[in-house]
Amino acid sequence: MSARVALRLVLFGLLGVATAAAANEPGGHPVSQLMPVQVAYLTSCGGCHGIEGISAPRAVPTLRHLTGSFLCTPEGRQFIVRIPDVALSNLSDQMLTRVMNWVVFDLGAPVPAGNAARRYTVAEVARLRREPLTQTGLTPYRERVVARVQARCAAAAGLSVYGAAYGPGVKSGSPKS
Amino acid sequence: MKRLDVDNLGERLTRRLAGRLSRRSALARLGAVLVAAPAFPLLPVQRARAADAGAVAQQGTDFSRAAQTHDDTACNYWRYCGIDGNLCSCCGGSTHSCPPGSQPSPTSWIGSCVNPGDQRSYLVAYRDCCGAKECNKCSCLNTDHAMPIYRPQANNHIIWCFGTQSFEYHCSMAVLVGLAE
Repeated sequence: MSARVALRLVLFGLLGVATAAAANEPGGHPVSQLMPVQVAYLTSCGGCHGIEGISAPRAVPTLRHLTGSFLCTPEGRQFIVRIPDVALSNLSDQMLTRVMNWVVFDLGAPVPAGNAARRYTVAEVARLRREPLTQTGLTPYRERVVARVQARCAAAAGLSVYGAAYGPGVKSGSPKS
Repeated sequence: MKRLDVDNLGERLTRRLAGRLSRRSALARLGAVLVAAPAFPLLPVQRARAADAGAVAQQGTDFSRAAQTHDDTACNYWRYCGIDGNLCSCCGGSTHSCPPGSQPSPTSWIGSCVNPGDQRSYLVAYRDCCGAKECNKCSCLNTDHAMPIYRPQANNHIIWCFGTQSFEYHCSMAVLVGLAE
């Protein structure tokens, strides 16, 4: 056995040990390899909106199969980028654009056909995020946007769950409950 | 007594070398040694230090350099790099399940930790178990990738029980979400 073959065997052996160590983590379920856009979504949004876009819908809007509906109207399309936590997130314009397109066209699909149903460009996201909705009552503003989206697209019915009467699930024991 | 004749010795050595080697060959060898030397640090200690410095520059925090992968009831278990609170593993639950009588919160914050076993970065959801009296065992505070409270999405000091029936904090899990790189 030549020295080179021996070295390769040793390296493969080490690799095998490392992989086994990760797979044998106590309580480890199958670990999936995440795309950069998923990493950005998960670290910036997914904690509350849910790893798969499924949240506690009255406390935090559900994204899965719903976000795409906002593209029923140009106003809805702009609104979801101008939400302060989106516009003021720590992501670059490029990565925020990728996240928005992924959340709308993958996680939040289907996107109903219409003149606002196209992918975001970096220039558009960069422009919209410079006008975050910080000077307006976000809850009533969202209600108006959602009402107009729902008037156009039946698929958007689920958008009303968030913002519906706060149930006992949020801050019980506080003066708000 | 015959004295050591350095002159003679030097002359013989030089003549022998000159007879065997061409000037070009000698220069080429000397050049090769000069060029190759920096690529092979001579002492093993130096080599180990260089490797360490490389690893630190690549990735890792104070926490990850001292982290371990076998005991999930200790604060330095690798997945706890950003945890703040009682470890559910010490309270009758685990890194990914709530102790009986408490409910997992649907909201969490997600950070990333380096697994010293493979030096790769994994996303970890710090999810609180709520609705039971505080467990008060294995209280840990680690802050890798945690943000101040004005960035609450990544703050570990908040009680992450939004969306549950009760805001009573019991313990914190560190659920593996996926491989980040």
